[in-house]
Amino acid sequence: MTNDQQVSHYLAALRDSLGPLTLAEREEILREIGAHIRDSAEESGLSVETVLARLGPPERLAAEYRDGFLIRQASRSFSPVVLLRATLRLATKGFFGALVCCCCCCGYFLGAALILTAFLKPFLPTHIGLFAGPTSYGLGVFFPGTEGGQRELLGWWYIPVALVAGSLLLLVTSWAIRFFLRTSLAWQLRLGGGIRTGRRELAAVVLPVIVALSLAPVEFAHRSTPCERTSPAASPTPRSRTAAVPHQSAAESC
Amino acid sequence: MAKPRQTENGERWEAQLRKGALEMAILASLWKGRAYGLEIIRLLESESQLALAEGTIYPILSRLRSEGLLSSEWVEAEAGHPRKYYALTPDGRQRLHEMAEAWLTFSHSLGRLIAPVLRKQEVPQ
Repeated sequence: MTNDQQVSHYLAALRDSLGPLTLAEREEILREIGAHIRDSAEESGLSVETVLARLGPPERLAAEYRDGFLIRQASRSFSPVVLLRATLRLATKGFFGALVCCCCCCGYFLGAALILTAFLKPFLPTHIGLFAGPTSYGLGVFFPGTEGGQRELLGWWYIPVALVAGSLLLLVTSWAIRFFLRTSLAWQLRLGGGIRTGRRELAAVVLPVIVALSLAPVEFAHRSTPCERTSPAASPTPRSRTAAVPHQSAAESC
Repeated sequence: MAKPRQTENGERWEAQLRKGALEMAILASLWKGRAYGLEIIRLLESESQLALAEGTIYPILSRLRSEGLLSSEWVEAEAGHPRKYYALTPDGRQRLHEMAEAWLTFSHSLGRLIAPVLRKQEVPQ
């Protein structure tokens, strides 16, 4: 009686923690673990308590299933949301994962920014384009006049070029992530060392992401000297809280 | 003073090592024929020193199956409830073969490297 209760309690906790898996997968896992508990208790004569303890806490068991599922799903998907979630999960597993996560954020961020400038081109025709100066080239939002001598090279062609380039960047980023997820599927999970997220790992994730997010807008803010008017292009993603910091410092410098 | 810390690190390293070998061990335990989860666990316990939280094996089995290295089927047993049996697919057999070869090459060359460590008890200064 109490044994049955313990088992159903364990299985219920497992079911709850298996959230993102499909219903069929969840039922199959529960059936298999249920069979294990029964067999194990009958064969070895151990108490149900011991059998459950040897299985490990249901949350941890579920987390191991979920990790495999998330990364498997992401290596087939093209949705940035799914891919970002998977890379974030990977990023908690060590430095290399954090690096991939960082590149992925940069790729999506720059791609989205390029597409945004294409849409802004009709409103700011003289300020957006591919500019050639005496010393450098600049792509994106640009306010000529301060350095002098820049020519805009593309004209209205900028719109299709930026759209294609931005989309390509998004696509290439997705491909790169999927490729990485597929090749790392094996060793990253196994040698990455457990599910727990240590404080050190967390720092390894958060710091590069912040650096990545702040570097990207610096590039844009840098090229756009009159500071107040550039804000839409300088922080084209909703993550403007981190992006605002370098942007302001660029604003102060001019 | 530093001793407990040292042993702790050593244990962690050993745990990682076992974890890394676990996938190959699971595949190898199916070399002779199909088996269900608990059988694999018992086999690993008796044949190797891979004592582990029994739960860790099931997510790995599930992943190996989705990678196409294992196949699975539910079989009605005398026990009164069905059990999920796993078997190696041709891909799984080939992969296991490659893993075993890589493992032997690796451990052989590493064995030569670490042989002097165990021969001499004192650390040379």
